[in-house]
Amino acid sequence: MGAKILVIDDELEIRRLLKVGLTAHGFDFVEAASAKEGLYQAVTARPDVIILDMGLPDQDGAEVLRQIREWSQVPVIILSVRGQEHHKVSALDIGADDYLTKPFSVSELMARIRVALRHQANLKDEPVVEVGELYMDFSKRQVKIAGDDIHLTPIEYDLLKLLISNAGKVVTHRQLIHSVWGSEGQEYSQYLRIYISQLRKKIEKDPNQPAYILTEPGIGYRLAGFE
Amino acid sequence: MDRSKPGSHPGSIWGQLFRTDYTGQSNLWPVVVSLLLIGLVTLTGKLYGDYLGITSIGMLFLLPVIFAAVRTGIYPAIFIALISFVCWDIFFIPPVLLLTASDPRHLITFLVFLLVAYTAGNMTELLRSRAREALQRESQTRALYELARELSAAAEMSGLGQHVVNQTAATLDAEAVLFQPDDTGKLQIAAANRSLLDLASSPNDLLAAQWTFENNQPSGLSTTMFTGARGYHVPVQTEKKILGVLSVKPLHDALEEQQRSLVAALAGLSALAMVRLELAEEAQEIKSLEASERLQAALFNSISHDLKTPLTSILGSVSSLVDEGSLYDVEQKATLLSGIKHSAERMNRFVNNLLDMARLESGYMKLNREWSDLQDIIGVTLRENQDILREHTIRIEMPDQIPLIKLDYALIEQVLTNLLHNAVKYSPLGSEILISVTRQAEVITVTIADQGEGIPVGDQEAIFDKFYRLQSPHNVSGTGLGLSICRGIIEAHEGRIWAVNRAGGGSLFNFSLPLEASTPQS
Repeated sequence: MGAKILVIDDELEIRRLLKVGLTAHGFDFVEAASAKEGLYQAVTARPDVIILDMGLPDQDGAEVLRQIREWSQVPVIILSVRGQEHHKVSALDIGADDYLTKPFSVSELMARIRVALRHQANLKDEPVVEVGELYMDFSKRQVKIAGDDIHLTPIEYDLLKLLISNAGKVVTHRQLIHSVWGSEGQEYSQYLRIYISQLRKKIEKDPNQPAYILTEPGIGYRLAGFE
Repeated sequence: MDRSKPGSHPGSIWGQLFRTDYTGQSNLWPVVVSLLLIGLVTLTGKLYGDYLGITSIGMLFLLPVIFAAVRTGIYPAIFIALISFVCWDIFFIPPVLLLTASDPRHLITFLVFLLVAYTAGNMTELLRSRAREALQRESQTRALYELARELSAAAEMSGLGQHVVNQTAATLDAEAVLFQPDDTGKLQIAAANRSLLDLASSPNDLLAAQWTFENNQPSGLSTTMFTGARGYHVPVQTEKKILGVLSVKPLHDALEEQQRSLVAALAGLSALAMVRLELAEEAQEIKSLEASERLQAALFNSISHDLKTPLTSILGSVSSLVDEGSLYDVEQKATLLSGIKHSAERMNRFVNNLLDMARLESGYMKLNREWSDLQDIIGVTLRENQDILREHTIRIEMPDQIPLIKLDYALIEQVLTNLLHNAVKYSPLGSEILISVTRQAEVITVTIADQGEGIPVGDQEAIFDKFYRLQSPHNVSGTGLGLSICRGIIEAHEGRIWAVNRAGGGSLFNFSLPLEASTPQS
């Protein structure tokens, strides 16, 4: 049996769709239609990944996430609608692993689940990471693109390292700023945009249409998965 | 009634003697001159009496009478006739220095004096009153004409009321107030020729005006109703209804009959003008109501069209697959499925646009501004819309360095999405769409150039109006919401959006954003 996925969503149609999609991909499917039921299932069913809708009738999705995080580090992928970027950001900041905006495709969701499971499986640091043509060796502080060495400034290196260690997963602006500058200050958000732009010029074939560092509008960046 | 001035009392002889008439001439001086003439005739008679004879001297005494009669009126002339006869009798008819009336022949002379005085005086008065009437008529006609001219130009009710009171006040040398009823039927001052009027503060006059309004009859001064009121109140009415009351309080004299009828004429003129304005306003209201109803209907039609078209495609494809899936081969199934996907994406875009429109319309468009990289936004927009852009060649021209701009990322992405969809929709498959970013001193301009049919001449501005497409003959699906949303979003960013036709075919859609738009969100 594959990994067990808990879907917490009050919409029957969505649960039905996900049930078909997930079981077809070999996952074990568990569902809950409310926050209360979801929390109960999270404890009893012990899922490997939780898919959590932010708009539950009985409780705010963020509150459900907070309660789960009190005792579990299980990957949580949140579902939300357009125009609620600040909700998504705060959910990611309190420990959600990734998000999807409704409407979404099942294949997108599968990709997110696979990334979440992979990160769950190997939390230990690998010295070498390869994503597409991008090669990064943390032990040698070496970065290559299509076999060619590229030179990065220390900040560019730190940004890319955080993104590539989370390859396929969204990393929020705040997480990036915190990890690179050690600060929460909003004033760094301008610098972040500028460093990302420079980084793209060095690693992207066409910086106008980036293939590695993808922007998640209003939320952060994601290093493309390349499965 | 004001009777303090003797000169204003038409009934008394004394008043007749010294009154000032309509033309401003006083009777005092002709009477004095006549008296001096009597003195002169007396003196002449005394000097040349032997030569002239009593009868001739008597004739001479007619001269002051005629003079007085021609220059004044009946009563002063009779007064002078009396004095003339007395002087003739006393100074020339024996016994001299005594008033005698023994000889019946002298009595005839006296009667002739009176007759001359009466007849000539009467003629004079008649002529004068005709002249006065003509003058009055002329000034009334002028007043009415002036008012009519002003009223025909008045475009709103308050301006109209002010014209009425100003003209009335100026013509009649009076205070003038126009009352109009409020919703409860109680009169309120709509216009006054100046502030702090007696009329507006006198309870009697307010009562009289209200009574006039309710009973459709004049009241107050010079009428039998509310004689304690200081003003004259006439209804402002048409054949059908009473619109208000025009009140006049003369500053000096009472109101004469003619002036009262002038007030009534002014009121009638005002009523006509008010009705005209009311009708015009109603027509305007109906027109804008119709326009908004048309817009509502258009919105309804286009929303249902834009939702139903993809729904039809989705339901059609899905029911085919569900009911008779075995009939189709793999390729046909793939076509149906990609059609479903395409339609659903289209619905999703439409819903996003509708939500943005609702945000823009509701007025609480709160921009979530953050420092953003335009190149980044363009990249994301292209990524999100790659399915739709697949059939076109996309080219990007961008300077090496573009400064960050503080903007609402999601909304500007929506603008780019809508403009790109527009370009795809109106240009042939396989043609090139060029996205270019240029920097001027204070603004950054993004231009999306297509190789399509261009914009109909004269419509470059109108295409950004809501539902522009509804009036256009083009049969391309869509609401035409997209461009109007673009304008709303760009204007919320203090930017500018415009479209021009491209030299050599196609159109250029541009929007510019100020570089200094770093004002913190409110």
